[in-house]
Order: sequence, then structure tokens, then C-alpha cells
Amino acid sequence: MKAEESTLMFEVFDEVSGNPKAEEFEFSMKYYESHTFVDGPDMCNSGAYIFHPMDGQLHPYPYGDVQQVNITQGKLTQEMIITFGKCLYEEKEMSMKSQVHISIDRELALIKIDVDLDSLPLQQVYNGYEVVPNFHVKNFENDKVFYTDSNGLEMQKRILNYRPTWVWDATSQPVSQNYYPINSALSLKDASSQRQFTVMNDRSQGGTSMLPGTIELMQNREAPSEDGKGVGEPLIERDAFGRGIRVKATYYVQICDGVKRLPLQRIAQQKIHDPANYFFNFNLTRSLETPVVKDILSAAYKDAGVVDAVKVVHVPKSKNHVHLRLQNLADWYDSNAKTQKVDLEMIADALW
Amino acid sequence: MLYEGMDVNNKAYGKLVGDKVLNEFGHMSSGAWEQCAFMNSTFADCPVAQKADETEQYSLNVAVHNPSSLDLESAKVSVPPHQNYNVMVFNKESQTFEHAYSEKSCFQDHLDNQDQTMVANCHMDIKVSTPAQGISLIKMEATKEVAAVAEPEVMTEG
Repeated sequence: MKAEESTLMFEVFDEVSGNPKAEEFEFSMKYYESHTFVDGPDMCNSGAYIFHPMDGQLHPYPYGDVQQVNITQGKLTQEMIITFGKCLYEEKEMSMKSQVHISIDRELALIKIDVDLDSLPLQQVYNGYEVVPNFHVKNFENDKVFYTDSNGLEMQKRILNYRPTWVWDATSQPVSQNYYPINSALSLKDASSQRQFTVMNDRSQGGTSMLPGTIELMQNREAPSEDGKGVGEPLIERDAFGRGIRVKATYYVQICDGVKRLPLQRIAQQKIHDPANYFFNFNLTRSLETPVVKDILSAAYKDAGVVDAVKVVHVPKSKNHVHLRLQNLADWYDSNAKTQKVDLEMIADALW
Repeated sequence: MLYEGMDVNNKAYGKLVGDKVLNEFGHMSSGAWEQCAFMNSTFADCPVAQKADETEQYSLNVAVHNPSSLDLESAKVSVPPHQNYNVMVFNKESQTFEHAYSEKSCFQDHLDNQDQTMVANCHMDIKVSTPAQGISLIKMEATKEVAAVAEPEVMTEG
């Protein structure tokens, strides 16, 4: 790993080929300046409803420089903790602060990136900040095509600067027009190989791929003027102490040969949507009166076919009445997508 | 309104977890099974913060519920930096708590309070299997000995 000013560079090991430098991956924090304080009916300022970068800004600027990199190594986890920040306007206090934790997920061989984005800088020059973590794979040519999920389900093909049903206006807001809702993943495929580059998020965000091998997702925004779409106030969110809100988000990244290695997007999606829940208690005693009941639910669900991309949703309706929803999250975008057989009787028996 | 709804749900969820712990692990709890106030936050937002302020010796019991269809191999618990723990996991076969491998790593974070107080926040990574749609039970006995936490290596140049 190397750090240069605002960018972290990694060499990614490929288990299948054994190549220790199979891919070169870069991560950086970036931002767009908001288009603000323009009057008139066509003002179209950036605000709660509208994302509109400053006119002429086609690519985001670096958001803070790498200040420090800490590495912790253990048998269970290895983690890099990177602190970004920058002093603005000759201030002594650091602005543009974020702390990024990068590790390898233990259950899934994916890069896990936790971004703790601190309050956005004070807007002394009324410019607004729209901050985007930026993910980049070198020597990756996706030929202006990327794929975004449709409400967490089927991946949709998107083409840069193009709409299938109307003529794209190249003169108006080139960045915003290429932004799409990302509820679970944005993915690229290399045009000349089977390589696939996917970034999965843990919340709904806006996102795009403006440059080859590059993915950006919007994590927080602050725009000092309003967009005239009905809110009637600027987009400035404060915490209980009057500071700009702090926004944490987690991203999973997979760079792989989409045929030789299993794409893990849908399996990661299950982990993200249903994370482990932790409960704490300080007073626990062995109860000899209570017979211990063997838990059969997990094994029974697996036997019934609830594995891999199969997701089961339980919707309690009333006493002894549970509505079950079964979904096969996989779609034809994944090379390993397949039909899954599920035995409903077995699931019902296990629940009962 | 949303907060109140979540609070009601979390209490009911905690009660269900208590029932599962009793039925599957044969352990009864007095007091509620509580969650941290926020996810992905520091130990200060978790029940252990208050307990660690009151006493040095306590047993922190953790029930991990995995609602996904994916088996989990480890758990991560936020803990205070000044304490160490003897970590055990309940083995259903032997019906006893057995020693589990764990690692503690700490990093600097700030609290979401008026002064943005800097704290060392620690994560205890624990090797424990939690099956899909299942629960695992961990016991963390706080020990008096000062936690030996390796200082992270600081990279100064690329």
C-alpha cells in the first residue's frame, strides 16, 4: 500500500492465479462544489432535491489529504486506519476530516471500507460540499458502460451520456445527468476481459462512473442555498450541538475475474441487509429447570434450499401467522446466477 | 416517532433473544438484553460503558443474532480501552463455556458530545460461529489486569 497526498494505492492479490499484484486499486475522498446562489426561475441551485455541481466542474476535487496511516495486524483481522484532513483558509483546525478503515471481510473475501465522514467544512466562501468516496481500478476499460441495481434487484445497464428513450443534452449538467440511485451496488465490466469491479453500499446513495475503472458514491452533501423545489431552506443538517452531521458508511469492494471467481455481490448484499445484532446482559445464570432445545432452524433452512443468493423475509401478520417472502437475488448480470429450488414445506415445518 | 417505534421493537427483540438464550443455551437472564444506542459507534454508546464505570469486575454476556442466510465466523464487540477480558463461547455439545480466541485492537475516535472528546475505542474480535438465522452466546469476563494492546504501526511515508 502507498499513500500519495489524497490517494491510497493498493496491490490486490488474486487467490486463483496466485498473482500478488493482480490489480491496482486506488481509494480517495473527493468532493464537488455546489452550484449556489443563482437567482431566477432557472436557478437550479444544488439543494435538498437537486445535485448540481458548480458549472464547469466535470470531476471531483480531492477532499483532504492523507494525514496518517495506522496498521493493526492480528490473526483474525488486519486493518488499515487512514486519517484524511486539510487545513483550509489558513485555519489551525483541520477541516475536510474523515477516518477510513480498510480491512478484508472475514466471511467473504472482499475489501471492506468503513468511511467515517466528519462534519463538512464551514462554508466561508459559500461553495457547498458534496463528498464522494472514490474507488478506482487501474487499467480497467468499461467502455462508458456501468450497471446499477434496481431497488436492490436486477442490475440495469447504464451508458455514460446516453438515454435510451430521449436525446441526451450534452450542454446541461454532465455530472448530475449521469447520476443514478444506488441501493445496493454499482458494477463495471472490463470490455476486453472477464474482469468485474463492484462496489456495494450499505445505504441508498447517488452514484456514477464518469471515468474508466472509476466508481463514486455520494456520502454527504451540504449546500448553502436552496434549490427552489419546495423545501424553502438550504441543505444544512446539524447535530444536537450545532455541528454539521457526521456520516458513517460501509462499502464492500470486489475486483475479480467474473467467470473464474464467484461474484459475491448478492451474498454480500444479504450480509449488509441483515447484519448481526448484538445484545448485552450482565446477569446470566444457568437454569437447570429449563430443558435445552436444539436449534434446528439454521440447518432446516439450508436443507430447504435457503442458501447463497436466496433470501427469506419473515413478515409477522398475527399470532401464529407469518407471511414468508422468498427471493432469489441473483440475476443474469452474475456469471454464477442460477435457478434455486426451495422446499416451502420444510421451511414451514422448521418455523412451526 | 421513528425513535419511539424502534425503542418498542428493540425491547420486544431483546425479550425474544432472552427466550432463545434460555431455550437453546439453558441460561436465564435477570434484566433486559440491551443493544448499543447506535450501530458502528464507540463503546461509549453501549451498555458496557456504564458497567465499566461502576465496577472493574463484571461479566459481559453477549448474544449475537444472525438474521442472514450466511454463516458468520467471528463477532466484533466494542469495549473500553482500559480493560481486558477473558473471552468464552458457549459450546452446545459440551454445554459449557469454553475459551475462545480473541483480539483487541484500538484506535482514536471522538465522541458525539459537546466537546467531541477524543477516546481510544477498542474492538474485540472474537472467533465464534453464529449460524445463519441462529444465535451464539459469548461470555466476556472483565479482568483486573491492564489490557496489553499493541500500538498500531504508523506508516509515515509511502
